[in-house]
Amino acid sequence: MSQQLIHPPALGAVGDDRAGGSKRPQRRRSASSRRESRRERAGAAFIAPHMLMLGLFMLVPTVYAVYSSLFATKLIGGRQWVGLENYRTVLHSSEFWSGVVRVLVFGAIQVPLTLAIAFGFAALFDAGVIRGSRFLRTIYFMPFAVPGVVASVMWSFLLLPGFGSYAKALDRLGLGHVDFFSSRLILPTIMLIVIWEWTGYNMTILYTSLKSIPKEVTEAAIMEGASLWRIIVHIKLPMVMPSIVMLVFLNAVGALQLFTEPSILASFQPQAVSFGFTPTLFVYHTAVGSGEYELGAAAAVILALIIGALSVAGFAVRRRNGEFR
Amino acid sequence: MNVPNSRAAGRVGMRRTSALAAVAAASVLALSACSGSGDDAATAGSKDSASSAPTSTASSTTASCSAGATKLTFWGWPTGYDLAVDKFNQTHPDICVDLENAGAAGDEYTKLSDTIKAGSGAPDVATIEYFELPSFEVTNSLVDLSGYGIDSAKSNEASIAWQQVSQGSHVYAMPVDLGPMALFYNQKQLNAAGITQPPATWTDFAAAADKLHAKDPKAAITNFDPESPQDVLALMQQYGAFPFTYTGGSKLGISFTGAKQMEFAKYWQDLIDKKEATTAADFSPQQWADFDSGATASRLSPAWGPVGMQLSIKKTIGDWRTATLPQTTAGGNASGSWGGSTLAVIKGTPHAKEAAEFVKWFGGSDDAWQILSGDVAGAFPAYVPLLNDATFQAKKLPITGDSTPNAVFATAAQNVQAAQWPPIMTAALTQWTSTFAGVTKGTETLQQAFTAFQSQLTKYATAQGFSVTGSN
Repeated sequence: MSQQLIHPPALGAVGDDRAGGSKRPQRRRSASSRRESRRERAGAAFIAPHMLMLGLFMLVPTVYAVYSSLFATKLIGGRQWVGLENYRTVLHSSEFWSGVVRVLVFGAIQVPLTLAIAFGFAALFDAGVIRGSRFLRTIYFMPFAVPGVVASVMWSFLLLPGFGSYAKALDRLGLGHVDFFSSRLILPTIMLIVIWEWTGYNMTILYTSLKSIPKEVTEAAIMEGASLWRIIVHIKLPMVMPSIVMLVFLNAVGALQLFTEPSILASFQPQAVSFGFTPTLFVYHTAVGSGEYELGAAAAVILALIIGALSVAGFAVRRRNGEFR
Repeated sequence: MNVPNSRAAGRVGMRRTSALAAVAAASVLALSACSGSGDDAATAGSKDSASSAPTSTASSTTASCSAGATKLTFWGWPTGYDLAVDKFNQTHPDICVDLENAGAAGDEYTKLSDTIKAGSGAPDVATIEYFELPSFEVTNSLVDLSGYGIDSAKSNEASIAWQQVSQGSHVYAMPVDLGPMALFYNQKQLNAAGITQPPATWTDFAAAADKLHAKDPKAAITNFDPESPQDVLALMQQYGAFPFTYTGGSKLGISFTGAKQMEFAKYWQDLIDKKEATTAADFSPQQWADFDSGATASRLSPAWGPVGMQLSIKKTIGDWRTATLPQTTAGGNASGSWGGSTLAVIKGTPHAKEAAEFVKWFGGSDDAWQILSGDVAGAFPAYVPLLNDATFQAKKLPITGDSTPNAVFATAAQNVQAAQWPPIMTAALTQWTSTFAGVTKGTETLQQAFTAFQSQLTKYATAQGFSVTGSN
């Protein structure tokens, strides 16, 4: 209240001190809230383009997919309302679920492998025990700069049985005829391609996390006589755990959406990849191949719910670990 | 696979679309019985570049057009079509055909049905394979050409071709090429096993397979790819076991489990069980390698097969001969057709008359066929004057030494058994591979795959509103 003595009441202000007193803070508040709202407006302006795109290319199509999944268009009889019939069909489709199981198995193997290799490289580079690490980091990151389609085409050429250089090399080494596209090896082959594509990306993120660990920690450990191995596994690994948890979920969501690689491999060997090899391929083949667009939409919605549930679980885990405070 | 973080979001979108394009291309590979050209998934075609001045090598087909000509848009993908269109434009000054490549086979059909649904952007004329015509007829998307004097072309077309473009007195497309099948065999291999005559019946064929296999346990008489629908359907057609009956409307017959179909399935399953027929993927390196090493002694080949095959083998060039397919009854000459395409006029075109004139010329004139059967396009004709042409029949290929395969294929073209394609072929082709994959792996028999496919396709057709009659 002492301020009121310093600031004379504004001209034209009538009423007692208390009224003025009650006005002035108000005015001050409104000034600050003006600043606040200006800041908010600026913030809104910054995220507007993103929100617009998100709305146009994410929310609108999602709503449309949900809407159209409630119909069926028949060759004889045209378009009709079928309610949840399409969802029932998808939920009862063994083809769809076998695809879901396949990508879960795929993710369960590919994600830990990718992250293990990525962390290994990141830790080595971070430890500074390798010469020319900057150059190597760039090299390892490069596969990520190659679009998945191109990578898949390239690997298909390398691995094609009886034609690809790798298959030929194995043959020459006396390891016999390896068919990377056979039903037994097709999944490992796709894992190989995906690991090759994504390890560098994950490595870069983990390398950045490792770099943010204070030097003092490492120095103290060295003073205590800890070996490099111990420092990496028992000190650095726990410290970058939040990043690893985040990457597990990002990579897992990616694995569930596996599409590009198997679809390209199928162009080299159609027999290698079935109708519902992955859930996204199931959606694509159902919609474009069989012309059952609405059924495809229903499958896409179900897949989105599965992935959504996984993402929510991921956030829950990370929140429990004390992120997002 | 995509990691959905904001940095990758742009990339993801990009990957998704290019992946779709690639998948479309992939499905073409899987679905198109390559029509017209010897290499599968031939997507080479003409891309009009409106901006660049046409040169003699530019594939812009409208270069020679006069300003007042009626303009037609034509979607087609087979190699060499641009040359034929150029010829048409030069010889028909009042019509100007603009060829666009809207993708091959399934790719084009998707675009075509989308533009028809949208009511704008559809071409006047489009290349459509025989098996896909009913799918467009059922949605009433094709112009009935019988009102435009198409009947005059009938006598010049192989009867199977005409049967597949017409329903009663309605004619929905003009036949262009055809894929009649014959037995393409490695003469040296068969002779070495004491088989001096190509097997005349399927019984003889099985006996020859035994003989060959007894001599060399690694040898197979042929390759039978269960996962290649058009290949299998063509052989069923020849065997008298074609599984579909359809004459327009909402009634559809699907019969994969009839007596004849099961007999066919058992015949091939027995050969597969005895390892006398291999199950390598059509056009796979494995298949070519086995043909070339003599491990597989014959190929049940479509007419467009040998040209592509001689690019894929080395050692046995010159050893291959052509004979009529083995028959169910001795003395017959039945054949099946794998592939082949037509030109259809799309409903809604303001220039149906000109379009009809163009398609008639394209599929049924000496001028057009001189180009279409040439070295660039290499299409096999449904056009009878060329089928009967002595020079055409006497044509030799490196792969067949001093023999003349066209003579056999031309006879086969005139003896392809009737087939009525259903209006659900896109779905049938898409769903086929998964259902039949087990036959290749050895986890199911062809009979089981037929039974599964019967119920699967019946379910699909019923859901699409057809009244389905099952196996006879």
